[in-house]
Amino acid sequence: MHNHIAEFRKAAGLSQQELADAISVSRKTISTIETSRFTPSVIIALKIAQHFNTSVEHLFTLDDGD
Amino acid sequence: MKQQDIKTEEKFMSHNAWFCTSAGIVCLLLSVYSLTNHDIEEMTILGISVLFYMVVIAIFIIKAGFPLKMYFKYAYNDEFLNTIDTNAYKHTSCAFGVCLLGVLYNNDAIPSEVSHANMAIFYLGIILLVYGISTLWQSRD
Repeated sequence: MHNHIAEFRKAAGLSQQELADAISVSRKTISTIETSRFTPSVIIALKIAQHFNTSVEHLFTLDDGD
Repeated sequence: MKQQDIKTEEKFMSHNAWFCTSAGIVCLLLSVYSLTNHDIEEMTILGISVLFYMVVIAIFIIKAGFPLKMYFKYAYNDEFLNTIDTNAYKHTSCAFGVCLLGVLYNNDAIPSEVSHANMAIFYLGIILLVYGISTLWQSRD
């Protein structure tokens, strides 16, 4: 699964820590989601989408193998 | 959940991973070193070294504000930290199982001088080292 969180975050001028603070998760959560090493729960995905005022489908896209 | 709680958990996870790794290395060195024959002077130096390590850890716990109360919490509130903690426990159980199977398989090859205390320190070292390295590896950026 790919995600575009890093692009959204950079476009909003936020650091990983600032985004983590905004949605009440650890910085490592953001870091590992961005590098696709950690697949977040629906709750975190919705929180991130809500923070960037977009939909989860815009943030996360499925790979062929998924 | 307060952001301060998550930062405390993050700090604890990081410190605990390094502590487990270092304690694991110390335990393994101690178990291997004590197997070979050494005179009283060498064993005194070893004892002082371990004592020095324990004092350094104690100073760190006191000065760096190591959140000891976290040891009494069943799980992390942060989803990612909880996941890597669970994975680290799985890796630790697996490593411990492999160790036990290794000892079972090579039972006759283990010299009789190896005491239960040596084996216990060896198992403890393996457990701590695998937990520490697993946590560090999974929480890399």
